[in-house]
Amino acid sequence: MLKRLGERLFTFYCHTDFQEDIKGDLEEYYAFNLKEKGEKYANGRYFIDALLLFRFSLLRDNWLSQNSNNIAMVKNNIKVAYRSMMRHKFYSFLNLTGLAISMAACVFIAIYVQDETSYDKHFQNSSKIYRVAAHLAFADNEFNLPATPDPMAKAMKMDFPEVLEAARTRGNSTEIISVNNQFFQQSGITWADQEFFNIFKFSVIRGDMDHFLDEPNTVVLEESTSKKLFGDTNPIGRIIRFNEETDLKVTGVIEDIPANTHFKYEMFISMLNREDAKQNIWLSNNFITYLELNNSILAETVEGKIPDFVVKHFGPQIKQFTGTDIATEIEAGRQTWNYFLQPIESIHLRSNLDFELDNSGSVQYVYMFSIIGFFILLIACINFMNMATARASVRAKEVGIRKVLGSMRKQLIGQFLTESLLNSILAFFMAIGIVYLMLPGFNSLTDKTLTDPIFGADGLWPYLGLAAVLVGLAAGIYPAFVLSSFLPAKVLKGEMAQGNAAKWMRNGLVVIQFTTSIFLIIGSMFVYSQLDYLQNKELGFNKDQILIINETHLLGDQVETFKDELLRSAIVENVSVSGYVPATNVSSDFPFLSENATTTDEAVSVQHWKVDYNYGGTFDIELVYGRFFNKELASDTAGVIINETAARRFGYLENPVGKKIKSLGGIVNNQSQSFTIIGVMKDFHFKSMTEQILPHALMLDSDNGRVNIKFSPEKAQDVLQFAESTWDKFANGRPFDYAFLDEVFAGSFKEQLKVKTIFTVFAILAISIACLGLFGLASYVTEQRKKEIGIRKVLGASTSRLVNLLFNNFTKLILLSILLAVPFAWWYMDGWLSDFAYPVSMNPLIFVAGGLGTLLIAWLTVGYQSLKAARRNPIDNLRYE
Amino acid sequence: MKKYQLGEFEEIVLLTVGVLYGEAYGVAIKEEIAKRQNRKVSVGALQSALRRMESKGFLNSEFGESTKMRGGKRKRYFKITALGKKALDYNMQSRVELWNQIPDVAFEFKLC
Repeated sequence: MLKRLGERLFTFYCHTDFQEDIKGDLEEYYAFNLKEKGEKYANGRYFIDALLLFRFSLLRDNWLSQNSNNIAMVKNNIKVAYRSMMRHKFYSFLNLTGLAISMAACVFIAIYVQDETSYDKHFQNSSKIYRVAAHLAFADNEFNLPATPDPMAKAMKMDFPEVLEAARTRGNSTEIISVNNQFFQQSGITWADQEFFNIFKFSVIRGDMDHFLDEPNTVVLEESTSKKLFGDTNPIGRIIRFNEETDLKVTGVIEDIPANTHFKYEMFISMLNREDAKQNIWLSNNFITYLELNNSILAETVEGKIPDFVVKHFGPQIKQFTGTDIATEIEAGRQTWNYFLQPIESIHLRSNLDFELDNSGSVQYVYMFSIIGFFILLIACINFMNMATARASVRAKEVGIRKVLGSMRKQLIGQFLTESLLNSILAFFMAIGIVYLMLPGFNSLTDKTLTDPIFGADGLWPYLGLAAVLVGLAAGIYPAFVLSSFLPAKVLKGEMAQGNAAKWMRNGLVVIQFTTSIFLIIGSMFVYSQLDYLQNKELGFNKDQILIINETHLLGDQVETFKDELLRSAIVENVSVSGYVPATNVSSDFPFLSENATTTDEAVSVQHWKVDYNYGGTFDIELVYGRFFNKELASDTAGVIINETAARRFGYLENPVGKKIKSLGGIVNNQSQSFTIIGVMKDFHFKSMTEQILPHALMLDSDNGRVNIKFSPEKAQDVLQFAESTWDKFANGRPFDYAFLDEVFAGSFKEQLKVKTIFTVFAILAISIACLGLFGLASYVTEQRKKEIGIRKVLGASTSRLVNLLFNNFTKLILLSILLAVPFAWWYMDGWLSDFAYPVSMNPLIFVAGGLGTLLIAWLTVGYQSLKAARRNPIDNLRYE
Repeated sequence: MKKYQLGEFEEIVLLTVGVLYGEAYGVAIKEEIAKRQNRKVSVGALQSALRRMESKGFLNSEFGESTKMRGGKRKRYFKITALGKKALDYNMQSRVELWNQIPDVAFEFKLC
């Protein structure tokens, strides 16, 4: 048996010339062994010998053993490619730099896109995990929330068999905690159900994941948080004092949650600590509900059941509080209670609800940057193609001779492709160099911490290598076919008439290049001006010269004394105690009715902020009508200041001062309150600048979350020192946490700033690479026409005429590009701007500037070459023939 | 000289082929080496060395008779070629030259 197998194997791989005698030898050994040592040994020996005969020199012919001329040819091709590169150092340099820079740009874009698309995919079962989101509407008020009522999770698990597990989190706040009387400011605090850890299976470092938070007063930490609080000691069982009132016992430590996750929690407190988590109110949405389904295809089934679910659970409470029947209200379109499931994998890029935990991703930007990357690479490829065909006249003789000597067309194509491949591979290595050189800059721009994106774990190098080869082929294929198609007889006779086709092609490619770069330039100018507009838009309040001290509720009753102490300083102009500061994303909305309202359908959802007497003076809020709160008037405690939008929505077209608004019959406190309007403030952006201004109201109420100090101009450092030393007198070692409002404000633009920078960088890259190509092309064309220029000059043409002659062609091409790019850019930017609540107008100046700017740059590029050629002494051009 | 380069095993095989003049086929060579050098040779090593040297031109070969014991397969007899002889000569000469270059002192192994 073994013998047969061995023989088969041997026959399979051994060269046919050697088979007979070696098999004979093997038979002989076999016979000998059979006699001496028995059948078993002989069989085994035969098999082993057959295996050991697997030697390179005994194998059948294979691709390695063939003495192929191909390898020599390939070597020769590389050599020729190298020589031709070295002979034209300047053009090779232009080509290589262009390709390398654009490849590096593409690598960065690829890294960015890879990272953006990797969000939330690292959990086990991540494809089965969903978040419940809400689209709610009543009257004119509309809400898109990632949040749900507190009983939602439990009810869904009960009602839907498809739901394997349901869990809630609430909040994402920064609070003061202390360990052994040492204070820390802790961000990323949330309250979570135990079930949260059943859905999101984090790697546990310490503790029992099944019983992390199933008791009140327990807390789970992220590893780095645990390190920060407890060093390297075991934190299990240790106590964290939360907000100076609750003692929490550490029950678990999980590995740091990867940065590409839509929540950035660092500390989880047991949901059992929250009273509002048990109150069973369906009409307030504050809890984020996560579901794990048995199977991801069941999401639609679950969503299909939600309308009935809503009627069943929301109905009774709606009836109780508003007296209406939910089913008929929904039917009539007066109310919308729409809950739906979002796959967590798509939250980062595709979900854009109000109050998102993570609002940084945008699938639009991912597409945008991918397209830009493609464009830049395209421009560089076109450079290569253009240079190659433009240089055809030089290579033509070489091609002719090669053909005469018997080169096949196939071989010539091979040679030219080798050339472009060599180029792209060299460029690839240069690009890698550039990437590693620029990585720190990229990291700081995009807030990432990449160290080795190409060769590290999950590195991009296989894709990049493949891309380099593809780029080489794509850039080389057209020149290869053009150059190899020359007829040797004609070429060698000197009839180097490069057909119109090649010229058209070249011009067409230049037009494509410049159309894309003009598009990018106009686009980035729009992005720039839009974001600039938002940043510098008149706010309606004073954001400069305001120092915010956070977490002042820690001072408790002493806040007022602290405030008075601050007010004593000459550099402090005003101090207001209120947690509600513009641009800090605080929010608390509640429905209100105007005094004329007859039904609850007319309710307006208003952001109502609790402020003190000094608020208006501190933030310099402009009033259109009325006045701010006055300490002397006791009635002001029932007064309210609304913004213009709110006045409009309440239907107060005239001066509304003196009119009343009342809160909708409370859901939580179950009591309607009435307020008198004492002032109307000018609309200002109290939230993000990118969003529409919503109804807004200020009420007199105490909220000691923050102390806001307005200081004299140029005194930022002094006031900071003063505030800190005053704080230390009161705070007993609690950390001093401050921010300047203008910085907070700039921070809310971080995302846009990033986009702005990236756009600008890439637009500049695109235009420089395109100009690099144009420069090469222009210098080549002038070189080709130098005899013509010489003769024209001898016959009396002036320098300006000659320059004009050379300019003309390029100018036409670029004008054509402008014509093509402008409508496209118009259409695209119009769409982009329509996403903003406050867009800049479609300023035609930008189009003019973009087009003319490109033309100017192109002229400068071509002009240098043209001028040089035109001013040269004609003798130099005509001397040699 | 690269042209005459022989590995140690190749040299043994080549020499054995010479020793077995006229009778040098696989099995015989293997047995001869086993007997004279007291060393076990695998079929694979032997055969690949033979073919390698054949392609280098140190050996040539022709088919011989077949016996029943070989399952009707012919033997392949190897012979040293002139080039093979030169390679052997060159190898021996270069060794001898090296031997002669060694100063006597190098072989005086006294206890030191």
